[in-house]
Amino acid sequence: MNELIEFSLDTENAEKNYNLAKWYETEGHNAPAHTYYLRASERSKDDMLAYQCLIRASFCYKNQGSRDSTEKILLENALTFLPERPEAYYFLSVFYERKQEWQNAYIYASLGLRCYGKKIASMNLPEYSGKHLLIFQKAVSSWWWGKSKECRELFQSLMDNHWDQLDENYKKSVKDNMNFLNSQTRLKKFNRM
Amino acid sequence: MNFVKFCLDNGGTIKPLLISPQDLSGPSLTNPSVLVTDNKILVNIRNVNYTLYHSELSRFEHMWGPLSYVHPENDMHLRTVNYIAELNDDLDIEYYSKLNTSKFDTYQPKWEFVGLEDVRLIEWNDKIYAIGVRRDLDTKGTGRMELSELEFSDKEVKEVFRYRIPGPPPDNEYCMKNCTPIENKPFHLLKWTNPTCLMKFDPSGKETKVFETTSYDSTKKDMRGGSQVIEFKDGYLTLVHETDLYNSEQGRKNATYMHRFVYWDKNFKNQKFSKLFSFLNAKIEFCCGLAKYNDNFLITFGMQDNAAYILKVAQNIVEEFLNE
Repeated sequence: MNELIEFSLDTENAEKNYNLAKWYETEGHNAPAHTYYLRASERSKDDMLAYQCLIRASFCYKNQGSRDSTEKILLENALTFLPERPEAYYFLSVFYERKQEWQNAYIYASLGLRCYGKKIASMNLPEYSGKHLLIFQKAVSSWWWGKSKECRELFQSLMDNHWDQLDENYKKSVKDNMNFLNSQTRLKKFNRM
Repeated sequence: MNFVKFCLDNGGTIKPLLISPQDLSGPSLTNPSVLVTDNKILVNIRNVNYTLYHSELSRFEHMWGPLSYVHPENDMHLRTVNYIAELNDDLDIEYYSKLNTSKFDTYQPKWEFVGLEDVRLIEWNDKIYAIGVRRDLDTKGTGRMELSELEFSDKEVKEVFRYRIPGPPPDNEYCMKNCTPIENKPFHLLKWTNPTCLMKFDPSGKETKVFETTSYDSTKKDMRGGSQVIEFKDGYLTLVHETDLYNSEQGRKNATYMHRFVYWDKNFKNQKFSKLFSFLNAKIEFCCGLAKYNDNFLITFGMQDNAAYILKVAQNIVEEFLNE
């Protein structure tokens, strides 16, 4: 197993810690994967790598289940480390969506979208594919926070401006939500008649 | 010093000890032990329900400090179960079985640490035993070493006898742990390394006896048991650990573990110590296994309580290291 040998010969090298973490994560072993991601993040001189490792370490806790506070603290470490990047905001928004804390889900999605005022360097984090995910998060959470108008506008914006970036699951979800919102509007009109 | 690198540079090998995640009772495999019997390599791998979060450089600490045991939020216990595996000559796992302890685990654990922790495997009188510490029998976590006899069948590995080893009279220690079994000296444990102190227990329930030797090096600090104590050349060899427990500036716990080899003559006198080392430059590492295999040593250790490894290194390389 090359990743382990390479790491053993150069234990303070962030990239070698990362490679070993990735190997463990791929094998489904989240605890050692977390250890090596955290080691990589603490040793990295490359801020992007450190940030990415903190987020991947949070996935290692999410996958274990029932360790929410640690999943969150890793995302918060990432967010405060590179607050100009959108990914940590997105995953925190998803975290709070899972807990049905809609205001927090909305706040983090909104803050994440503010990162798009300037160019964002690309990062190897397949779980975050772009701005449309933050818009989706904001759309969903805005509904539950009683911001119906904003919710409609955001889903409409996903249809109009980001349709090609959405995968099939998201497309279906956006369509379902729009159908629901339109039926609500029709219902409202009907009730007024 | 990175001992694994030293071994690899001198022809050694390291392998991870892994069990399919679907078969595990918790996320982490750690602190393995190794025993060679009939030229078969057996390992015990500890499986825990927690994940150790350790911000070694304090750059990205947990809200609870640099070092936290992250157990499931709906279970406030730190639970251990054990897996027994057989390795092939390449040190890959051929088969594994969760140690079946159902005959004796018939009670409700009373403390937060549950199960037999940090097992060392030993063969005495043609029987294979697991010896570890258990702390779940009262509400304050009193720890005693326990001896478990293992029975191997085609289907599983089963615990068929259990004995809670009393301490020597007056048996009033709070937590007696890391007492390590001595090869070919049935029912003898190394209780302390420096000064050297052995104890002999009797599984029929008679009093545990203590034997002290004059071996003591006042320049060395407290050493705690790690691997089994094995016969080597004309004496005994073991791997011990030294802990540095300290607090962060915020008063939160932190720790560093280092290891060293210790060698005695046949009478457990004239100790020789290797220099202190780390296996992989991690702050928390723990060795529970040392065995001879052909002309090599097999050494098993856990890293950050989250990973288990086996290391193979030629005996003469360790001897040179010890004599440096």
